[in-house]
Amino acid sequence: MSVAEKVYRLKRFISENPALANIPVAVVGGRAITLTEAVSMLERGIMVSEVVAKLQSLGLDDEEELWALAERFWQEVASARPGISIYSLGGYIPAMSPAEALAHIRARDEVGKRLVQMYASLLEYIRMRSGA
Amino acid sequence: MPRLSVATVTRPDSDTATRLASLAVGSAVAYMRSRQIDVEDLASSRATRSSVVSSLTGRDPALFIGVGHGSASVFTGQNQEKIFWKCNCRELAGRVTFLLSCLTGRELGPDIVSKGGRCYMGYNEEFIWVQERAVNPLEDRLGRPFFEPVLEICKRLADGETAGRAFRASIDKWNYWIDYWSRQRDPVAAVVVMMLKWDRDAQVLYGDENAVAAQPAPPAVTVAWATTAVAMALTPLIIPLSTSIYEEASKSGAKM
Repeated sequence: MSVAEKVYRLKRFISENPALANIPVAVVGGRAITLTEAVSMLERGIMVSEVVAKLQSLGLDDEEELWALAERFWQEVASARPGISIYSLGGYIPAMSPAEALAHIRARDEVGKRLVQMYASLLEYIRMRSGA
Repeated sequence: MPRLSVATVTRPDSDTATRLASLAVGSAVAYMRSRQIDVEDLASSRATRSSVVSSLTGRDPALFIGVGHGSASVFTGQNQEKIFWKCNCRELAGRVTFLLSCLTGRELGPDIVSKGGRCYMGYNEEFIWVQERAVNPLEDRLGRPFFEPVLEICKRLADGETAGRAFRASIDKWNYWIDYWSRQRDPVAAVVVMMLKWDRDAQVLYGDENAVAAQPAPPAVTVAWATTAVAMALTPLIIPLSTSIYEEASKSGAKM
């Protein structure tokens, strides 16, 4: 697939799924980037081969990268919407705030692992649907 | 043989998560009653093993719906008291079971079916959701999409549809809300999409997809025929009444 085709597909996915346009999906050059940023980098010819390679896996083939992406994601949620509450019928964690979710990820405890798995599932969904 | 159109529901409320989930499932209880389902609603402190077992053995319902914390092999009630666990769920034999609980789809669900349960629906991962306010999730902008698919299962079963159809209707609801929230620009939308997708993918059905828990709802045509029959029966009364009104008006000189 050419870079132009990749950009076209990503733009279409972003326009159809704006909710997922600005979440961290890959680490490029030591920085977590979003789909919107990835498109911008491809269009401007910045680190094209690395961006293309990262878009194929979206952090799913690197556990450390996945933890970093999930941490960044919850950091942004904790900043943008600190007042929402997360509930589960799992017993061990019946309620938590985004800040507490972030703390679990940073502590790399059992709850943090489940949150990272959940984020990996979202990235897999994006990877499958974006066709990038 | 478990009795169709009879149901037992447990709705514990000993912590915020169970309280909120039980509030939402309360809407399902109301719906079931509106459909003439005989429901024993074991809410709050009645959501215990002894009450559940007593209800199941005494009333022999075709449907059991349980809200509660769970693990792979355990389903709990009020204050996380164990209600069913792996190798201790024979009371569900012959029944349609739906557990709104985390993880029971991994071990307990298959065990329920292997011990004679008609079918089991539940979740093989954590059932997780997000809300803006600690109110009935159906009244919360973020909570509603997580519980409409849950209620869809309850409603369809109450309408006499098969477990398989109820399950698929629920998946359709999940997909509707995933698409809806994917199109939103709200900063919280990605969290909602992530969790909706997680819950949808965790929802499982084991056992007989053709199992039913209630008498089928009367088809719409029956209602139409009934309405027509009532109208026809009343026609002789309506025409003389109209005539007498006309006559009264004529006598008084009014123009009709």
